[in-house]
Amino acid sequence: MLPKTWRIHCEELYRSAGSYYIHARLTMIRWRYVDGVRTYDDTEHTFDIDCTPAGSVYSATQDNSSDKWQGADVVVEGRGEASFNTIQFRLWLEVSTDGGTTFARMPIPLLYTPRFTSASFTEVGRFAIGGDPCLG
Amino acid sequence: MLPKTYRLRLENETGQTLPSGDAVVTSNRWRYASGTPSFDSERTEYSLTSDLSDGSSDAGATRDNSSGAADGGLWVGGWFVFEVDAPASVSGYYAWYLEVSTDGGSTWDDALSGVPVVRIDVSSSGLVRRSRRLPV
Repeated sequence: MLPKTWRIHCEELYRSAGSYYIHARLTMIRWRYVDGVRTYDDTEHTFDIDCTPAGSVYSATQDNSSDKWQGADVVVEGRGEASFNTIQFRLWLEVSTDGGTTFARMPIPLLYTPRFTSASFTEVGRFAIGGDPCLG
Repeated sequence: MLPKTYRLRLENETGQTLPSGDAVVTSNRWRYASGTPSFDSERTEYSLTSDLSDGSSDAGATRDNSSGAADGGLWVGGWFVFEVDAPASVSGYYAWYLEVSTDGGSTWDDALSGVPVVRIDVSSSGLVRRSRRLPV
């Protein structure tokens, strides 16, 4: 099950020099069971994280309270500003039980990138969120 | 599936007493309703109601997940947030365990023999939160 309320945290691990931006775009195909049948979303769900040292490093809060998606296959694409030389980051899943006031992160990162040395690094990685419909 | 009867146990191995009220666990559980997933509202799964000395543990209240529970029970899983406000001079860890009863709450796992759910290492005071999906 995807959490009722969640977001993605983009954590900077390494940068060689200068200020920079990481634009991470997550594209998700979400699924859920309806009357016992696994059903996919009709459209892709996309959201962005603009990861900067001085700015927000979190995605917008994702509200699953109404849709109740149970899982998602995610593709991450990234793009860095030209001013950086080498960067590395990882993505964490953070969960809120109070509707988005406080968040806590899961123990294992969703994605742990290598050190990119190019300003363009499309399709950074793939991962899945959510679980077996019987296990929760 | 969450157990029919369960509770959470908190272990304190930090060298310092944890004051009452400084540890809490909240959840958003989910279950199937007419073949589709359904969330509940935020629920307190564990709350420290008396001081917990170093080297000891505390079992939370019994949670009834049977069909006869007041809320209908049969929750499949949930996202849990574990929160502790560490006092000064701590060095060590807090850990929560999931304990199960098959006889409706009369007998449980031996203390600290339940399923380890989360361990929070601490070396300074302050609020720490971690999330986990249950069942593990």
